[in-house]
Amino acid sequence: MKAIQKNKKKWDSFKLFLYILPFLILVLIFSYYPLYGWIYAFFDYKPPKPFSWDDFVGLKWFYSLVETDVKINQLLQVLKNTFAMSAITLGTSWLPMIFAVFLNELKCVRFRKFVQTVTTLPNFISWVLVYSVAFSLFNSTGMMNTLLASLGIISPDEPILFLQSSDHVWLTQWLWLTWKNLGWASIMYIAAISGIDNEMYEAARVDGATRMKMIWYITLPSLLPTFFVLLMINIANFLNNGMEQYYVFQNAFNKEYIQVLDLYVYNTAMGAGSYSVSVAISMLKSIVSLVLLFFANGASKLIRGESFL
Amino acid sequence: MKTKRFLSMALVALLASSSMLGCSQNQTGTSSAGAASEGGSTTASESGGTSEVSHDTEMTFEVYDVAANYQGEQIGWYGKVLKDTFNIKLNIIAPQVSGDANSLYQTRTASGNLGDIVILDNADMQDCVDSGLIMDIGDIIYNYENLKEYQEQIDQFNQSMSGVEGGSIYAIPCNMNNNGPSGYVAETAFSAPRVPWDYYSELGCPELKTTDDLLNMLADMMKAHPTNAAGDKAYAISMWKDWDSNCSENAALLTYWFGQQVKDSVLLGYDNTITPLTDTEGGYYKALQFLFKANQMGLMDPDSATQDWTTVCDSKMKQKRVYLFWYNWQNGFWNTPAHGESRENYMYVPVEELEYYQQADSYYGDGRVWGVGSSVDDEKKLRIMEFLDWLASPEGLDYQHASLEGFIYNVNDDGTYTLTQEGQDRFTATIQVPEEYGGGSWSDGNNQINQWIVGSAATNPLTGECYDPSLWASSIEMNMTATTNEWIEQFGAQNEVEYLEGTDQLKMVANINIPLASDSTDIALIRSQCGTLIKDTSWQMVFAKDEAEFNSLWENMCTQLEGLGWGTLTEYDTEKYQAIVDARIAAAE
Repeated sequence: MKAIQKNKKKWDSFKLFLYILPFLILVLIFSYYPLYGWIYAFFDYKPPKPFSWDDFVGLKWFYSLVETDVKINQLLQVLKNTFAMSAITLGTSWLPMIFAVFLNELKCVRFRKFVQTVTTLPNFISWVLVYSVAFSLFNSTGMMNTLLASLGIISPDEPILFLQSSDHVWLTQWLWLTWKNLGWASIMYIAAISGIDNEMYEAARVDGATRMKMIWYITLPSLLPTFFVLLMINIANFLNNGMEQYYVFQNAFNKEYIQVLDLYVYNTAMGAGSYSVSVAISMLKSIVSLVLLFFANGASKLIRGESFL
Repeated sequence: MKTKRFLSMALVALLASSSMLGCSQNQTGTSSAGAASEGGSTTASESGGTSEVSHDTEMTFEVYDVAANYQGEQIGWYGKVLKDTFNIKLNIIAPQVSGDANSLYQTRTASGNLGDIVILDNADMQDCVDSGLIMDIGDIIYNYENLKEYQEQIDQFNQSMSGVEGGSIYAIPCNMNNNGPSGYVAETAFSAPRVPWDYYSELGCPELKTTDDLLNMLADMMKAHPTNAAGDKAYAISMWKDWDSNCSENAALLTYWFGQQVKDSVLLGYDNTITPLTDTEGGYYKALQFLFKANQMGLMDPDSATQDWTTVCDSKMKQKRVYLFWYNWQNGFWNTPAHGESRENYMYVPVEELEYYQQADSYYGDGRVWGVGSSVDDEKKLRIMEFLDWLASPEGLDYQHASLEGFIYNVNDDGTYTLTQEGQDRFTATIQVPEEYGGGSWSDGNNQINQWIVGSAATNPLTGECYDPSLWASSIEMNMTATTNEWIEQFGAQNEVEYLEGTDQLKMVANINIPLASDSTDIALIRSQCGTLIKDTSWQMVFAKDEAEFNSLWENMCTQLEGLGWGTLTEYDTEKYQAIVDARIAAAE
């Protein structure tokens, strides 16, 4: 009798395992199987020649990235750009949260919806179009220069070349990114706010809390878990700060500061068909991302006593 | 309870199988590769080979075409011609349109079937032949009389490919002609300074000795006309950034004025020299100096480094906001018979010290080639060969270069051709093609392969004139305007090329077409890293504050290039292009 019961238990747990099996298979196929492609980093692969073991080159492509001082400096500058721009984005990742909180405080629903729509829309515009908007606003005869000239701030013969400037590239790129993403990123927080128990606010109001106090003691603490989850995801993507934006905005004058890792891979390898080198760089990237993720997880454990992994 | 368990198991099974669905592999296209070598030659008759092919079944050719700007089935009037003549359809695969040309090429080559007909750059063709993707058509190609006309050029190319045995033919060069290796039929040089005729003659047609004179003249022109008629700011020179590859494309083009051409990391001179791009005596450095001076004098459009070609072409060149043109085809964005009558056309201005590098028409081909995919079967092979032969025939070429007789052009009493009104407007307006010819707009129905076995510079045996409608005597007659007449009177020559030949400034190099090795991964990496640096520095130099900054940017670039492997690269390229130079010397003898 006992044996039958034990068997039944085993069968039940096997059945439960079968339920998650499809998802395990999905993860294996789409997340682990592609890792097989890393093998290209150790070969001299060049289409249309079929892949063959004769072309095994070991760590050659990894060395080739740091062969000379010039290359090392270039790579360091690229990493600096990547880290700086990601850090600025991470450091300001509370902006969408604050935006959502303030948006929520607006009492006129129609105006609130209007602001929300207007700020969300840029997210759906492609970077190529964003650049053409930027070009028409900021070129030598664009709106900005015309405005400045008509206000007498600059002479019309000496327009300011905004897009060619190599100053404050990180900051201007962050502004473009924020303009595009702010509304979209705040949607998550708006959803979280609507999930906060109304009784807390009512109780606070009875206790005589002001609006600022309610935000500080109720809304923000309720949003923090969401914030930290999103922060974690962002940290894991620290090195993946995109490439389209920088690709369209890059030119000879800002290249030094705008070239992030993905763009560097594209500019030096992908564009020239050097797949092996691209794979080598992206491997390094994955490893750094993994380290950062563990670091963030540890930090979260230390600070909040909770971890995600 | 039982049904519930069954249902849950079924659900699990369904999910598991659906997750696998995306992974089935395409196994087709690998088996037929070896089948093509048998037969073939027996079916094509000795005298021409076209008669024995049956056109009863409709066939679709997949055309992998690096030159195409259109993807999909060939439609419209040209599609109808092909359907009526051969009962074929073309399905054009265009890497340029696909969004990611590299990965399309990679996946198609990996599958073992690039296309039924392929059009590739020389170096890629060599790789594809090595990988067994291209069929040997040496057994039957010269049974086709129109292709046989070009046997010398086709043999020359195939023999210079590596690993190709005698008698084997894999590639047919693009754009060949029958005028000999140093013929040049156009009326304009590929690159030379051209300015609006009315503004130039207004300044009294000043004589220009050096490029500095040219800049001063342009400065005067800008002073006299700071805006176009609509009041928009005009500049002497406007550049664009999106055509740059391994150096600044605009500067590279100006090296033609100094008797050189940029080829990868080296400069090929008309005098058969090869020097590194970074030679301070070389054309590239001189071109940068020219552009830098232009910027110092305020002649340069400040948006040059940030705008793309479409912007500069549509909103500036077509609006007369750019005074210096340097490509010969650029004229087409402004020059018209109407502007010619009002003396506004852009015309060549002689600058005494310049020597223009000019390549002869592509007698041997232009760097791209046609091939037949290795996986087509015998029947299709014959249909394809018949089609390729037609493409090289006078009849086929009239369709490709001049379009429809009776609609786009008419035949004169003496057998030569004249463009109709529709023909004259075909590039500038939307021409509706009558239903009997296939309907639709003329340009949508035009030959979307966008490449020709025989180029428009070739002589048509039926008329004795070039295939190119703009070079017909009737068209030249039509384009005689006030501008042209005044120019002829001023400079005493019928056209630009005649003038430059008179002053010995047009430095012609013979046409050479040989497959050069494609870059190894190492070289490709060095090339792209060096290229990025040169490109960026070039732009910075043009917009440098002063001479000192200009020089220090150049110095700095040269030092950094050394660290990136520039020496290896130029050595590699010098060796590579020595083959071209040797062939040119041989052709000149």
